[in-house]
Amino acid sequence: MLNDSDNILDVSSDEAILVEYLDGELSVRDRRQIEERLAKEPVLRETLARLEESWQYLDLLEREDTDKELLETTLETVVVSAEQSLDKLEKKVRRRFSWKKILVGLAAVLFFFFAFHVGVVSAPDKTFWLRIATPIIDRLDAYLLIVDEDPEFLRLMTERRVFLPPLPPGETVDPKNYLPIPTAPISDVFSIRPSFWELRRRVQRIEHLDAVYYNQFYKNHERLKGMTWERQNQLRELHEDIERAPGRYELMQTLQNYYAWQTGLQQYEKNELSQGRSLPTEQRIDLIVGMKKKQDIAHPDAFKPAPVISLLKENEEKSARKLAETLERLNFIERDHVLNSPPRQALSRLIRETEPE
Amino acid sequence: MITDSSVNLNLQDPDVRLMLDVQQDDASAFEELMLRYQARVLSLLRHLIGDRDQAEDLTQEVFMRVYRARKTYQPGAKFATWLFTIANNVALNALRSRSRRPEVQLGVQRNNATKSDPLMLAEDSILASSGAIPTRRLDKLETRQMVRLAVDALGDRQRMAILLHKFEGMSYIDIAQIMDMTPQGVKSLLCRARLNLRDILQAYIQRGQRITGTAPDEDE
Repeated sequence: MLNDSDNILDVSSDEAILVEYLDGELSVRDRRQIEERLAKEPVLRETLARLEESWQYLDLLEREDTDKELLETTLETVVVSAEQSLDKLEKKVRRRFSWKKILVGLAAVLFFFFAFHVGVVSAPDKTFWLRIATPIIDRLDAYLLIVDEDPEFLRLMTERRVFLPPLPPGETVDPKNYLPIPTAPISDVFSIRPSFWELRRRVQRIEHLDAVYYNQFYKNHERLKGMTWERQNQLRELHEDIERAPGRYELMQTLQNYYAWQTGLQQYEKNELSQGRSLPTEQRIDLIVGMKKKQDIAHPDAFKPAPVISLLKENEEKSARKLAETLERLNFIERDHVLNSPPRQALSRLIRETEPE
Repeated sequence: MITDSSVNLNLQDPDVRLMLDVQQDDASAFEELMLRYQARVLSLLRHLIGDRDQAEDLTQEVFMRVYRARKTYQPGAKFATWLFTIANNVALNALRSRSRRPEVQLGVQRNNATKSDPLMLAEDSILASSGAIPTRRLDKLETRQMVRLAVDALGDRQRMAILLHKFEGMSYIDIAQIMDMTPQGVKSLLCRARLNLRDILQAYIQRGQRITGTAPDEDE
């Protein structure tokens, strides 16, 4: 076979021009020039004739015919091959998809773990948000009652034991007990960033709420959610300040009793109370103390705060802390029921509520 | 380089429009393209490879590649140029893999060939035309066989350039694009191919010289 690159033949410039002439690749000017030369030079004409003749011989080469069968076979082959390629692609995509699913799953687990423990998540659904905000939802009305008050208001009321039983003789109040310790941990029960197990417990609790409280609870949840972020944040800060104080149970009992007292006021009493809003905190508390004294004289049985603290102290079998936590966990209706029950009955109820824990 | 104007120009090519339909998974467009080009590709490959069965397989491969490449196809050139570029690559691959396999020399085949062997008949006709056997007038079949042997004697690239130019009527520029050469290189290649062809054929017809170039491909 002849080599393409070897210069087997001496390609004269005339032959090269003649090939281009035959191929129709010459410019008009070059074409005219070669045609003038062809008219004059017989050898050049002979060379052209031989080249042309050999070129024309190529016309004898067969053009291949294709039958329908070849067309169909080719189409079939192409389709089968395309399907195989598609299968391979689908398998690859499926493999990729399973990996993707696993990765997404892992990412979700990490995300929720992070969300629970760091608490920077915006709730993915209302149920989730409802669960983590449970302690605030439970106390929403009481918190709303004092959230706009001077922070000293609740502390001073607790310190002066306005809504708490008097201290036993010899015991004194340490005002520092009612101040939050910023580094103090918040009990998981009242944390708004609960652990997984506490979250589970809250879910179970929500699932077993009675219909009446469930409606109230859900309504509170909707109210809280509808508030501005600033308002929600104020409530969270109030909650955390209370929960970080060493005397948090007394603070909460004061708040609950104040709320219960306030809701039971006659209209003229409510007016009197609201007129005192402009007074300095100490004087407002004096006003409340004065109103309570009047009530006690006029209606000795109108409101008697349940002696929960003393009641808990009396109980030697159960830890006071656990029983207090149980009390906090109860909804307002249940809590009112306990607080208004005779002391022994209330204690039995708390012990009963605490036992399943 | 693909420019907007070249794309617009090529969109006027009905084959390009068919290929764009193939790109959208239009099976009938693919069948139409095959109807238009299958015989042409098969002819080219048949003359390049020599064996009809293998040429058919390679034709299938060419269209398979066209189908697989449909999603990435860009109408940057005439469809025929794009198609024959694929055909050229497929043919070169086949010729390369053939050259790696032990090749039975034509001379050996001749010694063992029977009278029914078409190659033997071709040789006889060439010899007849050359006067080595009793002279007789060359008929069309014999001349065709002679021409085929002459074309086969060319190098692969010369053969490809000749076939594209003669069968497909392609310009130097189109051939350059298909064979990844400069138009100047194609001009030189075609010139040598034509002169080689002339000398081989004239030698047969006038002096009865036999084809001697049976070495495996030495292109490039």
